[in-house]
Amino acid sequence: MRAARWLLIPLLVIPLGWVLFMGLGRDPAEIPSPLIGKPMPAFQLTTLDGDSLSSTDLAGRPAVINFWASWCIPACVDEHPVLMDAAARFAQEVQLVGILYDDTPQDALDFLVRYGDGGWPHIDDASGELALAFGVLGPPETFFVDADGIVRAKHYGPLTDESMARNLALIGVGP
Amino acid sequence: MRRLSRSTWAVLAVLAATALLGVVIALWPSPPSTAEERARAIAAELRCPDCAGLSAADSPTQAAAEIRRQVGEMLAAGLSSDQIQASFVARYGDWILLTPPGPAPWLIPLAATGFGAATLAWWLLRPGASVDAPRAAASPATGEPGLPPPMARRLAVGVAMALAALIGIGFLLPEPFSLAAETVVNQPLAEAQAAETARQAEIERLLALIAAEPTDRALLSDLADAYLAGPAVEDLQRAASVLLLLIGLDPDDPDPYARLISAYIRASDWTDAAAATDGLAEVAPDSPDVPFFRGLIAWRGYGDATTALDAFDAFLEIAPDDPRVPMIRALRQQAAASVDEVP
Amino acid sequence: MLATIGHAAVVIGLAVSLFAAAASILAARSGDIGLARAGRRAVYVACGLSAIACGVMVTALLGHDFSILYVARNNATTTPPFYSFISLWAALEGSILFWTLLLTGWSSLLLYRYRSAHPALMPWAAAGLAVVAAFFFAVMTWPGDPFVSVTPVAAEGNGPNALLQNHPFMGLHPPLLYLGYTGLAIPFALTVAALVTRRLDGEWLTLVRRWTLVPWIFLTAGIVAGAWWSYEVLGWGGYWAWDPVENAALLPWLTATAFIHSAMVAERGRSLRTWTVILVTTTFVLTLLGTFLTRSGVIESVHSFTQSAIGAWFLAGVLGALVVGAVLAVWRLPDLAGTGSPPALVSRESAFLLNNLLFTGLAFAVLFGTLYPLLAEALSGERLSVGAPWFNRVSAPFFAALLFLAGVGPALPWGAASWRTLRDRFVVPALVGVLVAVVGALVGLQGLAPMLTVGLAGFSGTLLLGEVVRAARGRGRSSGQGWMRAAWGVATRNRRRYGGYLAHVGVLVAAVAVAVSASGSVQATAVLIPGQSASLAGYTVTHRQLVREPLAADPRVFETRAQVDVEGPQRGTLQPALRAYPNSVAAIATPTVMTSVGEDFYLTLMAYDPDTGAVTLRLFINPLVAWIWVGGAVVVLGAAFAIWPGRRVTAGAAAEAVTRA
Repeated sequence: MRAARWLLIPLLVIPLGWVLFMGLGRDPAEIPSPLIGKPMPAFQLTTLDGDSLSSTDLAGRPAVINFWASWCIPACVDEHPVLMDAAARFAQEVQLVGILYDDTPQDALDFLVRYGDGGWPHIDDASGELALAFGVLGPPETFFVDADGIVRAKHYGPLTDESMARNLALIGVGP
Repeated sequence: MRRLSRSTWAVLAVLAATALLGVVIALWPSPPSTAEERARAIAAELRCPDCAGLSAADSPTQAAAEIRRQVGEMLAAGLSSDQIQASFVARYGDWILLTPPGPAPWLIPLAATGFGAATLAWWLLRPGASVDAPRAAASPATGEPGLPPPMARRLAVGVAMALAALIGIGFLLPEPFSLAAETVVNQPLAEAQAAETARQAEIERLLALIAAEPTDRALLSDLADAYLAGPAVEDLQRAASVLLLLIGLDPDDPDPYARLISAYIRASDWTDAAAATDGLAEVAPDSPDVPFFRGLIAWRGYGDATTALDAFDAFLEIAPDDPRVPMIRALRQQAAASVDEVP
Repeated sequence: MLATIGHAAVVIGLAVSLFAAAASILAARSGDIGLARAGRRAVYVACGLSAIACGVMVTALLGHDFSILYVARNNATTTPPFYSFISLWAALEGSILFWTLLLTGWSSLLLYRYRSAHPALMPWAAAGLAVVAAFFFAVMTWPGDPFVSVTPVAAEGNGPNALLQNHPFMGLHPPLLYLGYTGLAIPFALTVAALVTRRLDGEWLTLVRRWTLVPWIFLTAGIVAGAWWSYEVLGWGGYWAWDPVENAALLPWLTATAFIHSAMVAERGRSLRTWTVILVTTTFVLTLLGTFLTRSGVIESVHSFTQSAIGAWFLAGVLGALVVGAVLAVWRLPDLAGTGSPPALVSRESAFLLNNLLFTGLAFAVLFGTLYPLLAEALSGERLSVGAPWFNRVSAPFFAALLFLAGVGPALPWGAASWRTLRDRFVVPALVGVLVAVVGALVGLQGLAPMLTVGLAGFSGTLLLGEVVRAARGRGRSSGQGWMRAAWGVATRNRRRYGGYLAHVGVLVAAVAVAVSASGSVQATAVLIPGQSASLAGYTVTHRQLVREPLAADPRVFETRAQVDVEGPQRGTLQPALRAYPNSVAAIATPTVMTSVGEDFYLTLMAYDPDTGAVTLRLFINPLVAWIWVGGAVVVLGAAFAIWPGRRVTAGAAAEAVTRA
């Protein structure tokens, strides 16, 4: 019975150590999205060019919905070339859509002038309603939607070539 | 023994008063919450998505403002707070709730403290301990004998239960610290915004009705009024179109003319206003509106003092009791003064 | 060049600390005085080295030396000197450097003071402290090197984190907090020493109590200063968000407070020593845990430093300290056992036991809530949040019970309480408490929590007052003095007790202020164009104009402020602002506060439209907030009074003041 008290030590240390250790690997901002496997939220808004773009226009083709902002530096700057590359290579197969997060059209256009306009439409989500509908935490955040309009993946943070390729494969786009 | 009883009664009376106070307070009806307070309370339970840990009620970010707006909308649409929370959870997951779901987060600290309290109680109330001399011996501080153990036990248990009851009531109530939120918005601005929203709604309603009954003159007249109440030039132009329709339906009714001419004047469409006034003159030549508008157009639109003076005089002759007389007199004075200046 | 000196100081510091640890352990085992002296002196040298390293960093910051990566990231040529200086602790690596300086400073103080005393305990304490110092030096040598160089050298640096250069309190809050955290390593080291040498008696307890109280004062002051800073700077009108980093500071405070109280019982007899050991160890482990939580990025919070490899190191440190403490405690458990007989049910001893239960229960609850997101994700992969609503609800019962105890504890006698004692001392305060709660309800307090708080505060306050009155009356009768002089006489002769009473009064004041301000705050949002007004609860604000210009003190920063006239119970012109810092994408809100005795009028600028000059303002009326800071100050004052040297002391260094309690 006297020796039993030594059990206290592993009893105390191991659970605490395990919980904290498990926490080390996680990114506190990477929240799994409940939208995965569900249809994309419907929307109808105007692009920066003045045209109307609605979610029904995207039906039939896989789509990549990218939430970004001109002030989200350096993350949005870092992922911009990745998006440009994907837009160039898979122009026929996937529709890229940019959505402004808490930004002004003028600043967004300046950003595109500076870092390159890949030719895909950008929507000004002025009220933030669309960001909430998608469950966006903050830019950059990208949703991958398949041809049937079902969200298949969400990527939080700047995209890399590797994560772009991986997620595009999930919606049936790839080499 | 009798002294002891009186003291006991005194202490028990205090405990009873406390418990009664607690019950009264707990059951006191709280003031009815305004819609804003309820919206804030719901937003205070939702986490702001793009800031660290603050609630949507406290955070200044755009996402938080949008959440507050949506909560307000959903409340107005009649959703319950559970349904509103569920709609946000559907988009963000349980992470968006500031209070974790499920019983575990509440039970575990409660169980741990309860276990500690039970251990403490066991330690202090052990049956064997009652025969220990030190328990009832004199306290070194007061020199008086301590409480007889059974009395002490009853007192301690009584106090502990009263305290636990008071605290438990507070713990079980929805929120111990509820923030009163009186959201005062800039009143004139709020009223103007509300009026504009109402006006737009009214226009939608009338347009729908008119689609069914395109020649209903009452509806068209109301629509014209709704447009005339608007702030923008486009509204005046739409009002004018509707009024022209009305005139087309019944060319002999002078009423739409007056409003039409007013609309043109407000929009500074002097030519159209003059043409409309001529139309009015054909339909109702004796109406005081004719010289009234003619004078206004001549003076305000073209600066033609002579024509204006003639028109003003004609108006003052025909309708000396018209409420617009003071305004015309003032304008007439201005016009007369400018005529005198011209050599 | 500077970086090399700094880095060398750190590496040498690591070596010296390891030497100090080895020498002290050998000295402890062999009794060799020379080795003990060598170990002590090595600690002094380690302190000197960390001072050199800090000096190097401060010089680099003031001189805007951007060849050092830390300076390039946290400083700019336009940063004012004050904010350059305090950038020493504004970011991760620098804060560890500052921490090490304070830790070695405390250690040197302890070892110097007792260089000729406690020969059995001191070498082991020195070893313990040296090991902890070595750990921090090691962190600075490898994963968290503050002196990493960067080439090419940039012409301009990033500037300090925008939130941290908004308010001069940034110069106050971290140092106070760190003095508290680092100081709490000393009681742990002393306890380790006592456990190893089995000297678990009055000598150890007196030392540990004294050397906990002073860091505790700093920790209390640091927490209150942090809350005040948060209130003045962050703009959401609150002062405590149960943010993980705030909890990290609160947790050791709770266990340290529990310890300070239970040490009073332990000093009188052989009881509660196991509690003492557990509480001291837990306090130190919690300080390290707090460091881990804020530096590993494991839990996001407003304070989070960026994630880095340091996290794994600190996890090792936390678990290491926990293992050492647990092993020693379990090993010496037989020596720690008490008399075995429980105290009388209604006595001060049981009140202290209840006190321990409440503080540790609350600490467990707060720790659980802070770590629950991690636990839930480890178990189910599910992401959860535990925010202020949960913490408020769970902690409220504990705080209410502690308020009760704050008066009852001092009023109960040692040993057993008799009926007469209870009747004499408790009935009137109970009635006063009920009366005060009813008055509160009549005055307009809404809700159970504020009324309960106010009632309990009235009850406990009356009890404390009764204690003072009784003692003063007794002394006045015996010495013939007037009651005020008698009260002062009693207080100065029993500094510990009366300092404690004063600290309790401070707690009551702060508790009432928190309860009333939390439940009685009103707020409103108003969108105003220049010239328009809005009103809230007797105050009317009129927006005059929007001014946009660079800050005079730091021209890199562009400030947009609204000039707002305020009429009402307080009058004046406020200028809440939004500041754009070049290294921060979001504008930082600079709220403005008008404080009066009864309430604070608090104004923030949330948004503006440069074209029309329209602003979105948020107005708060927060009652009694100033009394929270007053209450905190009274607590610190009371504790300082408790440890202040009496007439017997000679003029002396801080060490003297600490030890003559």
